[in-house]
Amino acid sequence: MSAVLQNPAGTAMRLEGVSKSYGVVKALDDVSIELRKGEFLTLLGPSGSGKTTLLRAIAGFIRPTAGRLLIDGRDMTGVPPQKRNIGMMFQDYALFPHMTVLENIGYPLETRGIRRAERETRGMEMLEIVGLAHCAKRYPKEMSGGQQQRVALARALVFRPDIVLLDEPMAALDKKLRGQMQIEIMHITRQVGATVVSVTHDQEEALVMSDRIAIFKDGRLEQIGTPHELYLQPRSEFVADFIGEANLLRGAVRSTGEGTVVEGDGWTASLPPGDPRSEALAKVRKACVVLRPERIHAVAAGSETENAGVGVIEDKIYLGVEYRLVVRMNDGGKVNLRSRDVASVAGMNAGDRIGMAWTVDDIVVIGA
Amino acid sequence: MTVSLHDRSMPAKAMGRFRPPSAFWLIAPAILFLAFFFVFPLLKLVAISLPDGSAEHYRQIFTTPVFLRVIGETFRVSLIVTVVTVAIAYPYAYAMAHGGRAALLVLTVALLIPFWVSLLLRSFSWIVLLQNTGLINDFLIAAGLIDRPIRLIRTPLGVIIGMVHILLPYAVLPLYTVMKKIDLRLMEASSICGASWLRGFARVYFPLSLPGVMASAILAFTLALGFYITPALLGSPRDMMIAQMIAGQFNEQLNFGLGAALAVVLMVLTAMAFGLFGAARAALQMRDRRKGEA
Repeated sequence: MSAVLQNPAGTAMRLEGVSKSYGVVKALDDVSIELRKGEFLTLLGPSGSGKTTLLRAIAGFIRPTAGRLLIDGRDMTGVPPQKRNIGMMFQDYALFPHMTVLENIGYPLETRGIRRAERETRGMEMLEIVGLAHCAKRYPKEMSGGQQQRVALARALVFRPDIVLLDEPMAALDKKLRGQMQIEIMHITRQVGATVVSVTHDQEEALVMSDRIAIFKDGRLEQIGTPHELYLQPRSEFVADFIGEANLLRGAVRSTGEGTVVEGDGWTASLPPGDPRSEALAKVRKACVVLRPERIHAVAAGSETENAGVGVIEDKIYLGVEYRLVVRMNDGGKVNLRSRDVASVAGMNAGDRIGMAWTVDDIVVIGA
Repeated sequence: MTVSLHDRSMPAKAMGRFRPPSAFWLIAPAILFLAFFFVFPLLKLVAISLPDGSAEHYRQIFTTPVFLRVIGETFRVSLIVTVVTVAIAYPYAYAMAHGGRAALLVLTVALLIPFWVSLLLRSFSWIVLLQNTGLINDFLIAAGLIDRPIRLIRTPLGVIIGMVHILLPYAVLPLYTVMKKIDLRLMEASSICGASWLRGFARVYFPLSLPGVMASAILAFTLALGFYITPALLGSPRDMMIAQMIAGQFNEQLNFGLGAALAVVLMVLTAMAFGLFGAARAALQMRDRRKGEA
């Protein structure tokens, strides 16, 4: 691995309160992020959430209306793209159609005044890394989508940029190729020790590739963290819903002598006293409980404990490794369950009334 | 051509009894029209230029200095006009292709309005503008830039100005067609690769717009070679172009044979210019392809 990774200390980029308004519309609202060297950060969100605007602001195509952008400690806010030393892979790759693959990859070196011989050496090295050394003399249109993407990646990496930006890297690929290229791009960028900011609306892609994920909604940064943190501790219903599958149960908060209870029609989630989650609920009367489908166990009706609910099975779907149950609660809301305990679920059928059980550790509460 | 069009039409079975007429019959009127009013007169013209099979008129053209001078002048003026026209058309087409919808509308209307005014009228208007007491000289004198009127009318400069004006729309349209297909993301990609706008233009945008430049130059040049009214009105007899000379042979000298020979020479030279451009383009493509295979 490269020197950059052996010495991970150091900030590659800092965004300080970056905002961008178009008239009254705030495309970006006070976004602050710190990016470590060698890190792979994904900006994730639905379309119109501001993630692409932020990527274009980092590239320098858009000038923020407020805030600062520091790269390697230097203020780059008003610096034009060509002076930022940033590599970018565009959504449709934007390869130069009149240049060969090697000329495309050599272009960033050409603009930096590097002589032809060295351009070709370094271009070929890069082509080796992306596995396309045999295509150096081809033109982009003579290559497949996946190959074009590797060329675009090589062009974005060849000059050892401070940061590499990936704009919807998988959008132009068919589904089969996506999984493969996700892994491959991850390996290549780690191999050269690049610091990467990627944009996507595909949560699976974000989970696969990223060290950290920043989730955007309506121009605001909702939450930033490792995929694990975001999955286990979502701070909003939006994040809970966006990362993985989530059941959102809205209920009333009640304090009892034995802790705090969130309850709805036919279900209860009990937290012991002193639990930080209880304290967070001290001042609210309503809350949302997030339960992941694989954390809910289907049990026989009547056997449920203090962390449990009841409902009627609406659909039972066999998926080989697991069963998926859709359970209708008393209030009409639906809960998804995934169970690998095939033996216990096998006897349950659509229309049966069952119990659902979970443990204290599985409960995530979001103040509402 | 007609066969392939026919092949691509819907299967006859699916169409039932109602068959579309074959493409040949659709273009037959055009072919008949061209045969009677273009091909036949053209052959007749060639025949007239070779009375009793003698190439005397052609010998006369290529041995008489005044004819050679006019042919040379025609090419010289057409070349200058082509270069100037394409140079002006290029930024205009760029603004049309990438300047947004409002700009496209305004620029297109501005470009097409002259088409509603006859060529003759436009050339006469240039007399009003270019003459010694015309708008341009009046303005320059009033602005204190010059003391005495500059001679614009009856000079090669006047001819060139008039011809450029008339040819501009023809040069803009092929450029626009090519430019609007150029993805401006490529310029973004170029700048993030570290290139200034100027370098990006030279290395990325301009090479991609070259087919448009070629098409626009061919059109302007071949049209310019045959200009008649504009040089007649705005130029002096010394700036005579070949079309005027042909007209002179027919209308004044009544030497139909020589006039016809001059017309054939103009046609052949135009075809040669066309072929030259085509060969240059083919050579460029060949070089690119060979570069791709190497």
